[in-house]
Amino acid sequence: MAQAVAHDQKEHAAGGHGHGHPPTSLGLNSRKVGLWTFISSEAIFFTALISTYLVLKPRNIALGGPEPQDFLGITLTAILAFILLMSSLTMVLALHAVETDNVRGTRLWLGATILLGLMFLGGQVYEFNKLWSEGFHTIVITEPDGKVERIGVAEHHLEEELPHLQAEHPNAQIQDTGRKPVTWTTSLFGSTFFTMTGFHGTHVAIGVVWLSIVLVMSLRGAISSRNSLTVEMAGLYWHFVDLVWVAIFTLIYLI
Amino acid sequence: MATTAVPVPQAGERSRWATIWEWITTVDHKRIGILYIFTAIAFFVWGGIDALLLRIQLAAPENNFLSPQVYNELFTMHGTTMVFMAVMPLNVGLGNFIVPLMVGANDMAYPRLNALSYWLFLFGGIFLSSSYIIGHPPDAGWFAYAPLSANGGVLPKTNAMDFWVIGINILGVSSILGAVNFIVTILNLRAPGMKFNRMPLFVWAQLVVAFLIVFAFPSITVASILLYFDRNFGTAFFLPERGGDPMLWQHLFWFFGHPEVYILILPAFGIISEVFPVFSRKPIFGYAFIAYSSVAIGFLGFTVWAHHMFAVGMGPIANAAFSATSLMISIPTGVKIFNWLATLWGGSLNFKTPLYYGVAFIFLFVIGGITGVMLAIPPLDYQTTDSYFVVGHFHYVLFGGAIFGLFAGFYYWWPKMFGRMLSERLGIWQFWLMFIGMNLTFMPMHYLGMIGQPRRTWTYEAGMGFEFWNLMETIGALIIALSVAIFLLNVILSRRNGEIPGDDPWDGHTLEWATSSPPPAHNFDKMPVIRSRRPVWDLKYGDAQHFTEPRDVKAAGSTDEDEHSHGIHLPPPSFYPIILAFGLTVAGYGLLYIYSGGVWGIVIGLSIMWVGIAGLASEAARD
Repeated sequence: MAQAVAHDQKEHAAGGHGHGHPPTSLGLNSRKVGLWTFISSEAIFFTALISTYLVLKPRNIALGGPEPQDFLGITLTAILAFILLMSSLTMVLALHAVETDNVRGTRLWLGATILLGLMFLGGQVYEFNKLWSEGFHTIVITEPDGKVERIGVAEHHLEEELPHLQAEHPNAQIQDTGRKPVTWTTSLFGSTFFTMTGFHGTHVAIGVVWLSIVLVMSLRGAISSRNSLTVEMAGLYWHFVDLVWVAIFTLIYLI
Repeated sequence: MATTAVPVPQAGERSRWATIWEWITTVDHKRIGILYIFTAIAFFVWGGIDALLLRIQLAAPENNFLSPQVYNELFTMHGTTMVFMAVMPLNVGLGNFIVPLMVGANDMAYPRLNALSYWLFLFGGIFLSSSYIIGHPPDAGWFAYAPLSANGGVLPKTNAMDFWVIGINILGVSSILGAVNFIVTILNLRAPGMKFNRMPLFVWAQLVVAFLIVFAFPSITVASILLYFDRNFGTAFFLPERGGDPMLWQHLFWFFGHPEVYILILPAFGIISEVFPVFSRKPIFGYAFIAYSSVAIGFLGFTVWAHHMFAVGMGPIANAAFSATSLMISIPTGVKIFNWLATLWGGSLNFKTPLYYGVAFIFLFVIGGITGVMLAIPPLDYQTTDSYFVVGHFHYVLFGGAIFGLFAGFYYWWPKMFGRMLSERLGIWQFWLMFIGMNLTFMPMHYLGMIGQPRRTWTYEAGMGFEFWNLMETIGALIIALSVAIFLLNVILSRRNGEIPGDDPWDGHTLEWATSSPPPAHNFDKMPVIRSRRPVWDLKYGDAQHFTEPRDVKAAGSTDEDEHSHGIHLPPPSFYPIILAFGLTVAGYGLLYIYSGGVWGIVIGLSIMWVGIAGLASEAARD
């Protein structure tokens, strides 16, 4: 009994980590509990960003801001989502490899995860770039009774859209306020979209750096099943970042 | 597990610089707790001076002691300082020192992270306070309502609110990291036998507070980042003239801001729940109800935020819903009050300073709680919002509640922390002055609010019936200042003249009283067997009075690399936490001057941070 107690206390002294899963009060590794706690905090962070997007979305439309579906191609973003989900798979494979002391597999799958992360970031840069070069027009429709309506029209839809509007509002005065690029500051859509996806992209980038450090450690032979936790922690964070993308993808691109 | 045995520090053997270096690099939760407490006391005094200046301005009608702009700056900094740089870190400081002892741990779960939290707090506080010297202090109120805070509005266009935004975020990072540390410590580092239902109620309170911080702070982080974008990068999240939504700021802020109230007050609940049983010489009445009502308060705390916004026009449905949830919070709070009273009832009361503060806490907090119930009713809120009634209400909660609870805790735990008693005579003097000063300052505010004195207004006209009570409030504030001065005197005198307590001067119940005063670096030489909620009481008065084996690591006969070990192993001191915190603060100054070369500040700051991160990571890898 005394021995067991003393042993238990020794693990406390050690901070409850370092040997895989030493006995702690909960039986869970302390670093992992800490990371889970931090991730729950991050989840609220993204919830607040996503809420901001959703709260400001109707205001953006009422002001004649650009509507996301006119610009954001579902094809590209679906591919990006697929890439990120695949990276979660390779991450799982990397963890499995390290737990079975498969050194080559560890390096391979870590490398693959990093590569997929970089591909996602590349796709995001491409998409941001494309958005910034696109334009939209806010059309102000003033009815004879003084009612004013604002509609955002993508530049590439302008020629087909204007006759439609003319037909729908035969007596109204229709005014084009001119071209504006879709940027961070030209509309509420731009502000919320670039902020939210920008923060997500930053998280992906941090994940890539983290995984790269783990890969370097593995290449130096410093990673084995004894400290598979190093890989597992990076993986937990990586899966969380992927999950956030699933939420963002669903809310922006699918709804 | 490569670790170094840490000898018990011995005073008088080192040079002054070695001592300073030791404190800068310390990762010992007790030292970090002490750093927190003294830094926070300094900010508490600073915030108190802000308040005194405000009160001097309001002592007479149409006074010109302060200009309206300076008045705005002072009430903003008073609120911000007291909330983020005084009461919160005082709670964290006490928790830092006491919680690991109470659960029977050798340190916090992440000692280096703990140091990082402290240095971020210190630098964040310095960052905010530096606005007095190198810029303009924030001036849009501690809740920084947009659009007033967003683009200058009627206020002069300065970087005042950028100081606020960046400072709050540095302090926020500190709080979130600290909270993660508390959660893991409490969940995972409990000594054998310390089950959840045996944890001291102060630990329960700190656990709930840590979860509140983890879930509430991201909301203000997002809000303030968006505010920074609006102010500096031309977005319009909160600017109504460009379609933004000022109410979004209020929702995001109060989703943080209301749980923040419980972050400030719950540790005081925990302190009171420790002080009452010890000074009544009885077990706490209704342990489970007190513990779980903290959880209930924490949970409900996330459902009431919009009661701060009744008057902005959310409509009757939303107002009614938030009114109902707000009223509901009085149930778990009331449960606590009755349990505390029942603990005192029939007890053999040992009327020492901590109990004076404890009893006064109940009296004052109930007043603040009842005015809180009144404000939760929208029609009454319409009448009194933004008046001195609200100011009176929350000072009864935060001064009568949080600060009185903290003083109870100081007098109770001071002998444990420093090995010296605080003077009982000065303590009683301090108590009565604070009690009288507090009531004289804040009670008339209810009346003044009812007859129409608006808050956050730099002066008032003569002949409106405000003069007499405003003068009384100013006198009350001076009495509070005198009381705080006596406390500081008590602290200074106790260093030399304080009675030397035994390990257990109050006949305590919980584990911190089982070790020496002050405790050794590794906390416990021997650990009582924990078979109940009062392990030290069991040890002294129970039938089986025994300790577990001394905590000799070699005796555990475990396998690993601790050859040179002959004691409890703690991580070695580290210089990297302060480096990392410094880097983040430099980057913060970069953000402040983003359009005048601040980018370089960010680059340099991030580079310094990287050194800190890399250093900490390599140290962690060596553990």
